[in-house]
Amino acid sequence: MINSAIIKKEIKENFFVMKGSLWLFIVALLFSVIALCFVSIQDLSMLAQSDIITTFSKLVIVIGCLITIILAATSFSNEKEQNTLESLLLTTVSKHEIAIGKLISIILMWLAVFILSIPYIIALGEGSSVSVSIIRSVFITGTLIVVIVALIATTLSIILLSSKNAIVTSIILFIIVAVPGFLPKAVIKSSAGSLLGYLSPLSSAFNILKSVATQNVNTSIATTGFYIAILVWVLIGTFIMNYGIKKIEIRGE
Amino acid sequence: MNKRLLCVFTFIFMFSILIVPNKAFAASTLKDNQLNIDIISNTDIKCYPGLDIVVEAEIKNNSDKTIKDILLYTNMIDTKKNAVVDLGEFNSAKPIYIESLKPNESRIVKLPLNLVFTSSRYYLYVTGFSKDYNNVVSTKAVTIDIMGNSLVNKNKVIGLSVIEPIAILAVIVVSLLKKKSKRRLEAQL
Repeated sequence: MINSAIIKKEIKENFFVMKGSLWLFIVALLFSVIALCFVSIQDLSMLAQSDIITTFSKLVIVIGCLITIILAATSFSNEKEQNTLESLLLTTVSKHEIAIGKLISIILMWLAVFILSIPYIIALGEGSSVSVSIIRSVFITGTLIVVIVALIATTLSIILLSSKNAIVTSIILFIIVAVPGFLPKAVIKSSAGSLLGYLSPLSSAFNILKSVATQNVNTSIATTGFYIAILVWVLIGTFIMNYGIKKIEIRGE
Repeated sequence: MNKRLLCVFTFIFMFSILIVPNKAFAASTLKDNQLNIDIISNTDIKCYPGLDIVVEAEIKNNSDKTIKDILLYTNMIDTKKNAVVDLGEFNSAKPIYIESLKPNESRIVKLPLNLVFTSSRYYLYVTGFSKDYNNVVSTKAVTIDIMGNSLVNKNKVIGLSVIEPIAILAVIVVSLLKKKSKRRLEAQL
């Protein structure tokens, strides 16, 4: 199922080109600006440390998702637009191996973003006992969310066969899914708000991060439900991706 | 003498005109002061930011008729900035609605408050308002000290924010130069 040649090709295309390196530099720059805001803007610097870490962690996941959307939504459509998809399909590599290779390379890009964020989380969480648990939660929830986003955006890339359309559709879907994660506290506490929190994987991830950062006594109970909600979405994403892979075919164009 | 007397009486008359409405207003305030609110929970709050606390207040209807639609809410004053703290900004406070309060009935309400900012110069009070009553009543203010819990080292964050992007930029430049020299070597061969 895993073809190392495809993974190597994808890593080369994502990391060892100007685009990939520049993205990582911009991400680091963005993290720096946000971290500087937290210590220099008076109103932000007066926020509780748990709120600072949670907000920064949310940002890490959102940035990871946006990069994933762009990479995943262009993964197959780019091959099609550059007329390389047909030749790739004519090789002995199966459609599943191509898709998994692309997915692994996208997840590796998320891991690079995550690694860049670690020093900032440690610096912003200094003195509190939550840094390690927050890093662990960002890694687990972030990876799961990125997998969901990658599965859906890749499927859109296969079906729509146009990078532009796939990116726009993926971003619109992402915004719809992300909205419950940014709802006001009063709405989140209502029954409809909490239901939306479980329905949106991003909102579930944010709730996990908040529980961990505030060292909620009921952390394990509160987070288990959210983890289950995210895992259900991973399963849905896998089914969608499986459907998408079946749609890949040599058209002879 | 008569002129002086006239002047004194005129002054007294004018003064009484000035005084009477104020007396009437004061009387109406006293008469209208039919709602009484007191903070009964800790009157000296000392907490860490990020935590949720509950402010307990007792509201009493001193009148002989039912007062409807009462809204109770918390207010905070920052004496350091001489400003009113916007508790709605982070949904820090939530008002409590009381449908009706019978004559001489008292009720204890729990007002939730999320401590967001850090300062030792806050004053907190609870205000009650009713459409029926058409007046606002507030409790006495209690001191609130939200202690700073942030141990973030500002210099460390600034240092990291400068070093990390520069380090990544350096890696990109070095790899580009390596690629360029490799290409040049290949072209020479």
